[in-house]
Amino acid sequence: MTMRIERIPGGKANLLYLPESFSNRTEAVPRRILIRIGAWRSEVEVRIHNELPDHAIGLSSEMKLPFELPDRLPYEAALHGRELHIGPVIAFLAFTNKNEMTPAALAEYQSCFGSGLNRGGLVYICAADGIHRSDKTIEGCFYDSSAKEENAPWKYGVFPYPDVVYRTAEVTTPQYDELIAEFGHHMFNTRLWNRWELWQYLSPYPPFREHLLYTEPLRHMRNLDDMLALYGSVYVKPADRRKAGPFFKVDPSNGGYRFIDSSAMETCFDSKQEASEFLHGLLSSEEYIVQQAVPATGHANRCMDFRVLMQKDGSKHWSCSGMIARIGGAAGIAAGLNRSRIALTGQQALRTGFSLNERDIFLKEQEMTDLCISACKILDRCAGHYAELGIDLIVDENVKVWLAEIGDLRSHKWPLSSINDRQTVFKVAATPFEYARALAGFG
Amino acid sequence: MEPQYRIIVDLQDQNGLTIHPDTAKRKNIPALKKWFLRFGIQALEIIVKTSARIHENEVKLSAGIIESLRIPLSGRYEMRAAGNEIVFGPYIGILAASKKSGLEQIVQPLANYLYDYAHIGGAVTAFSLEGTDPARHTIDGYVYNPDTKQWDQGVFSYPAAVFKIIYVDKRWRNHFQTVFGGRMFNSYVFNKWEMYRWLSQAPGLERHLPDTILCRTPAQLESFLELHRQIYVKPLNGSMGAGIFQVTKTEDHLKIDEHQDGVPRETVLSNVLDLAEFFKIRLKGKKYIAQQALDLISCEGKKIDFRIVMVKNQAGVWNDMCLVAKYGQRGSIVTNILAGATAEVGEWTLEKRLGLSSEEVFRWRKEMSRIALEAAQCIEKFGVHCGNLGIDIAVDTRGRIWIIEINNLNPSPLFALDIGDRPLFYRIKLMNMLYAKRLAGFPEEL
Repeated sequence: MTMRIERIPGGKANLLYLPESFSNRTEAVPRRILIRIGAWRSEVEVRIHNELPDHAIGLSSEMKLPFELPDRLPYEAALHGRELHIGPVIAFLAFTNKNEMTPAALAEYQSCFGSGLNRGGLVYICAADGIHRSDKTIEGCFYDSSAKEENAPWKYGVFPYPDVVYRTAEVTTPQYDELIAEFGHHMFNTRLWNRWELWQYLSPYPPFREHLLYTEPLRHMRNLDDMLALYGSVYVKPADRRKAGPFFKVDPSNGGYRFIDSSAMETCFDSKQEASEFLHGLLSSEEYIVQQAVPATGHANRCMDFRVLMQKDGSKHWSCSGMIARIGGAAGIAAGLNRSRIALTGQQALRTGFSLNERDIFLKEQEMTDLCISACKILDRCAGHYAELGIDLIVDENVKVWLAEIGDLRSHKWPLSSINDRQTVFKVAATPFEYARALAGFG
Repeated sequence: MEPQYRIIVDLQDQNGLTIHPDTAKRKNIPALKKWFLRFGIQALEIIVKTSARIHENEVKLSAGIIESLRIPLSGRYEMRAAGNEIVFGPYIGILAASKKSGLEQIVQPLANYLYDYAHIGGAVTAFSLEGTDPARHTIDGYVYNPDTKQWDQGVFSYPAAVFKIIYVDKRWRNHFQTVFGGRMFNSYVFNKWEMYRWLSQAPGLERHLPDTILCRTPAQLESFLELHRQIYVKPLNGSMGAGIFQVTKTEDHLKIDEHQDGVPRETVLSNVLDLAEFFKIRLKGKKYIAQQALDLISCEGKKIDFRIVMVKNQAGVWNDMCLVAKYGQRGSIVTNILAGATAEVGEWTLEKRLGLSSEEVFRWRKEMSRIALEAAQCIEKFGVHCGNLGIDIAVDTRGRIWIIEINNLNPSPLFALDIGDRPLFYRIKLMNMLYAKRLAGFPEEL
């Protein structure tokens, strides 16, 4: 039920007032209850207040909360036994440092806050260094949609530790460990994997294995040769997805090796010795994997892959929020690696790239979505707590689906803009907050 | 991606189920435990054995068990251990016709519910009331064969869950409730007055309902016309725009507008007694409601309203599948596609006709979806188990959102085709089956 919070003048410092209608809804109103706001709890005395509107909760004006609770926002209230949970309180951890929270940076989030968060509760955006463990508060800004002042909808405050943390920002290891210790399963988008870990997580599942690009750690030239002998053509990629190291598609070439990088530049090595020296240089700075390459079927002679936007919604289940085909270069390197800025909807791509009829488009989309949902569920079980993942799929010339990469959703905006799908942009922005509400107990 | 198993007939063993040891381990089916095998509403005691000699995707089942439980061998079954039962399924029935002859005519197109059989699995039967034997708990109907993609005729045991797409009378409702309980959806088809009475109980929905009365006397009709000046009269159980009249009260007469076979017709009467008599004749003495007429948004004289297709998924969660705008014929009082209306993606209509920005479209869309969801939940609170609903929503010229009507007798997913989205049409049908799969004991797990 959505309620407003009103301050009632006078009274003791630990008094909470409930409207008369409240007593009609419960058999017996507890005289002392635990009030819970985010992670904060306090025991208070309860009084029924005749003049309090039905959809209001009164707090004594003498009650001092150790944080700010904006009373212009509507909240939901749920009584579980003797605990009155007011919320949800959701911290959107979108920045690493407070000084990154400039008006321009906040404006980037305005549409997502403005479009989907009017269902009550306190949602604030914050930075990792604004978390104060000592008094369990977080500095941040909430979005005030009723703000009259032009361009000033963000209101700074010090807020309670939340019910749920929705993380998109990079944090240091100590900060991460503290967040986990404090919020446990109530923080989502926990640490991601590297490419070798991803293979280890997914490959033990038999129905899955046939859709995975066979992967091995790349430690020696021998690994590369073995994989080339098996698959004819391979990818050499940094194990850590976040590292900016170069990646390549490698083919045998006239008894030597041809390395094609993400900008389609070719480097050919005539001998194993030369290639080995090149690899040694790569491996000296970071870890790499070698991965089976499959020919991604193209669109107008350009290779193409699919980015599937997977999110958990208010039902706490995974679903596909969108599917975008990204068109890469002509050199045969995967589209996701080559940032050509052309995109199609998943359906358009299946229709034009594979000449599928409408029924087969439906079936292929289902197959791709089911594969992604299964992958997300496995990662939830064995890797962490996630609510939004971007999955890169390749559909080969036999229309077989391959799972190439799984990462976060950060790079979804340009392809959606490219296909002019603003509604999906808003949906993708709003859906994690639906999940956060459900996780907070206000589904 | 749950594994599915083919059943191999075991002619040697009696009462035995043989599975691969890895399957036993993965599915937590220890051979030592006492087990029943459940298929549909029946269960039989079995002895579980493991053997590495059979394929991981196969199970061997004694011929006697297959015969007793009438398990179609063409299916690829999922297997779940629950308590002391191993459930084979899903086993879903589609109650699709009253008569066997009617079923015969419509059974082939029902295959479009099963295009993604790989995702559904199990056995799906289509049956009629006439082919149902309530004493023996058998159905004389058809089972879908995923290999041939055809329906095979036969006599089958009762399924675990039923998706009902026809009207059934109280006697049958009682029988199905006794046997299936909450595992049959679209169990009861409610009428317009019931819908109004239920939704008007929900505090958040009342303001989205046009004022409505059940007309019993001419005096009621008169005072309602006095209040609203323009009203719609609709039969309690009508659908597809049939039998809908618009009544306008002017200074000296009552004007009735209707559409018959796409042709507008106007009747002028002088008093409310004649009006009541008119409806008595035209609606063949059946009960009807009167509903406040709304000043709907329109385009070039074409009234616009919207259809939201709501479908439950395998997790049992309502999904808002699409918003379709319906443009009635110019001057027409109804917006039914069969009555000549045209369709458009609802979001485009919101943008064009209401002049909304894309962000505003998103907010409006979410609000319409929220209202539709609340309405669906409200109806279920009043004891109707729904799995798919067609919710007609309207927006008036002042920007208010209204719930016009809700259809739960197998609402048509054809709206998806009207906006040129055939994959969506198939997806809606798939979702129906996945909800049935959930009810049959195979819910989607988190």
